[in-house]
Amino acid sequence: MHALTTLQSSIHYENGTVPLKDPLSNACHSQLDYHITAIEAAFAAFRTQSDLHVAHLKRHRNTLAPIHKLPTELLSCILLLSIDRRSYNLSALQKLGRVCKAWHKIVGNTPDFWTRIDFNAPPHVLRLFLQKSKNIGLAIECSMSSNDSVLPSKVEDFIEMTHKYSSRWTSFKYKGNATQRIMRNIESVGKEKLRELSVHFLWHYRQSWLFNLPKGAPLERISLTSASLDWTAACTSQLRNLKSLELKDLHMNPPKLQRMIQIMEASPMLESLVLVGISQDADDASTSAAHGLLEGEPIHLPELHSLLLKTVPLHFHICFLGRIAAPRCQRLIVDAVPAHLFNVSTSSADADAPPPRLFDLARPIIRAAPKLCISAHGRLNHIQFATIPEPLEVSDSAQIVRPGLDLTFETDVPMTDLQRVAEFIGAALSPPAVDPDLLGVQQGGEVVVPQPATQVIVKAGKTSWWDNDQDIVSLPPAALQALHPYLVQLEIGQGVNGTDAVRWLSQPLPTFLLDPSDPTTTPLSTFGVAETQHFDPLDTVPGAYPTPGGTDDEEYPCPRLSRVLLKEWTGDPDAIITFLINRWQTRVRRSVEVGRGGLSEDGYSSSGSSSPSASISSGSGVDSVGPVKLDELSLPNLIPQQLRELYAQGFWKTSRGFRPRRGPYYCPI
Amino acid sequence: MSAAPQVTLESSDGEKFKVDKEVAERSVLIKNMIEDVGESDNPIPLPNVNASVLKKVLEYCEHHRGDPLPAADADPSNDDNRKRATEISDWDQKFIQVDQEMLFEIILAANYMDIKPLLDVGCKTVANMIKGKTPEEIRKLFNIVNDFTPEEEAQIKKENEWAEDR
Repeated sequence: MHALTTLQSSIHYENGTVPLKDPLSNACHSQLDYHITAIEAAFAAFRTQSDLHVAHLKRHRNTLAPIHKLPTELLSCILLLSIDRRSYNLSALQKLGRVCKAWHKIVGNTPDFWTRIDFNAPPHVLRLFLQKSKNIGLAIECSMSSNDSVLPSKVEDFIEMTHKYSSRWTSFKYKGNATQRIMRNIESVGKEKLRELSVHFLWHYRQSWLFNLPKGAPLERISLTSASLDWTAACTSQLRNLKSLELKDLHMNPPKLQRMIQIMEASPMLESLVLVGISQDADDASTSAAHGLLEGEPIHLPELHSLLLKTVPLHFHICFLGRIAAPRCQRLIVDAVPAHLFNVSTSSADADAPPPRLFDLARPIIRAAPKLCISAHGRLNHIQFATIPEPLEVSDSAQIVRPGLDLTFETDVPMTDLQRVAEFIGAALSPPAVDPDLLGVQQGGEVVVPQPATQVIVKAGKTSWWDNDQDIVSLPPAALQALHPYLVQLEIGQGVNGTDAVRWLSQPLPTFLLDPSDPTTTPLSTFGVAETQHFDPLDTVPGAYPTPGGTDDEEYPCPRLSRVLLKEWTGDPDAIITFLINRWQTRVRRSVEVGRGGLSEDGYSSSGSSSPSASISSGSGVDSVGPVKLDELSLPNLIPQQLRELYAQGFWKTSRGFRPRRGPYYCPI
Repeated sequence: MSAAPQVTLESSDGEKFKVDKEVAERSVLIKNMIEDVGESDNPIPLPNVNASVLKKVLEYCEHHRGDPLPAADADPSNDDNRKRATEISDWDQKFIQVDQEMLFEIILAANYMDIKPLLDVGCKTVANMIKGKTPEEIRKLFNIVNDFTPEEEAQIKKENEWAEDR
């Protein structure tokens, strides 16, 4: 208020109430200047004070905002969750700090926001983070790709600079080249707080260099890629808190089985164990067998929920699957090692006994785990799917396949083997108590299994290059029938003749399902389906076909199928296009994707697109029910002739692809 | 077959809710309270939670009655724990689709009643609302006004430029 009074009195002067003695004298100028300055100063003071008052009122108003009912600790936690903390992310912190004074204070004064010390941050930002993080633990990250041309000395300087604070390190992630200076620095970090250590060496100056764990650090998570430990020196006593162990690409000095067992036995808290790309030590398999390591007392890992073994020596598989007792295991991923490779004897008592198989060995884990996702990896194009359907006999299936269990077969097996998988699933689904919603089947490529699974995805064919002579998948009747109600996605991969695929998609059921040469094939009548009935797995429009009776659901057994992907098909593309146009224009399903590739023999060149796919999709989304009119068709790699065909059928091209023509016919070609 | 044991909870506005003990014990506060004072017919008072919020909280507890309880010492700063917290199930997403007032009340109640999974869902939902928005959009969303004085704003701008330009 003082500023306001001063301002008022200044304005009063300005209005001429103070008489000027001599308007022409210098004194008069000075007097006026004095008044002007006074008014300006008073006005500035008023502005400052009014800004303060307004800010004060606004702050009070902000305290009434619902979000500010939350205590500062909770708000701080929310703000932390809202930013990507994988890197130092200064801009996100600045953004939050600009929202209001309270948030600015939270971000600026909460050390947790400033604990990411990233090699990629400029030095002055690094100093800012080190200063603002006060004395709490630091997460140090120094990652570069193999293409980065970073001077080793720069990396070493960063590590040494942060090493000054090594007593505060809680996490250290390094991905880069290995130099002795870097390795020695990592080995000597503070003992008290380091809980997470991830070291990925891209390139070694000398591969014989061995790496030591920082002594005494209470490590909970260890991830080593191409960073060979000195396993003889690794102190198991510091692993009692270990929750996650990841060892990848250890080809130099791979751990011996005995050491791995010691590590597991010393880590009762272990939740996740990942071994990928461990080379076979020349004598380890025979030595381990001789010492009886492949069988024996169970290794109790009561907290283990995930076990991944991929391209590791066979005797690791045998020992781990046979001996680990993991009642909480939820995820089991193993190499789909063919049965005949199991020639490492695990039992001297019965020499004639058949060799053990992976899933035989894993049964204790499978049976004990209430919820488990099993994946089998492997390039099995020459090997029968020996390790999956065979040991899982029908009598066991009911025990193994049950609600809460996701089965994922992630393999590159020929489609004939997919049929075996389907047979297995079909058999497993037979007991009515089993909920098939919890099954996912996949072949090739990435895993697409919903968690929890609510749908079945069948991927037939393959995306790999080495198998060129596969036929269209023919799922066995029981499996197919069991899967139909849940089938939402069907993917036909490389190696499948596209024309056959189309035929399959539109073929009547009897021809499709029944192989006349196979006397064991179940007659259709078993499923309550008339043999003359047409089967269209894509049909989502009950009543669109003549029906011999029964409910719509029974007659059109794939009511949920909403997505079909034909990837990299071979064969006659025109047949597919015609099929799509004829069958999908009026009764289009939610989504169709057509990729093209390998069509050069038909005179069509590949566009070189990295994802040669196209899609027809409706605006209704994949979850919609009922007939959906075609809304959009995107086929980016078609040749002009096919485009013309489409235009002729009433599609027109937009920036998003093709749309049904809704106006004057337009053909740009 | 005997009926499941039940407890009565009393909201701040005096409304009583009779629920299965198993459901009520999703709240660590109530679980400890029952353990400490033993089971009784007296209602358990929850003076910080009103009836409408308590009803909503109990709906959550009922739906998650069989879920495994989170570890008491779970470190929220741990990346895995955070990731787990960021994964909101479909049901939870629908459950938490409420107005802001209720959302923050649920978070406060979950905090007070010590129901970690619900607290996670609430916090993560608000965090998702913040993600990718500009300061002005965030202010608008949460009915916050810019309360910096021009001097403060200039200072922040200067600091930010310093961090960005060097």
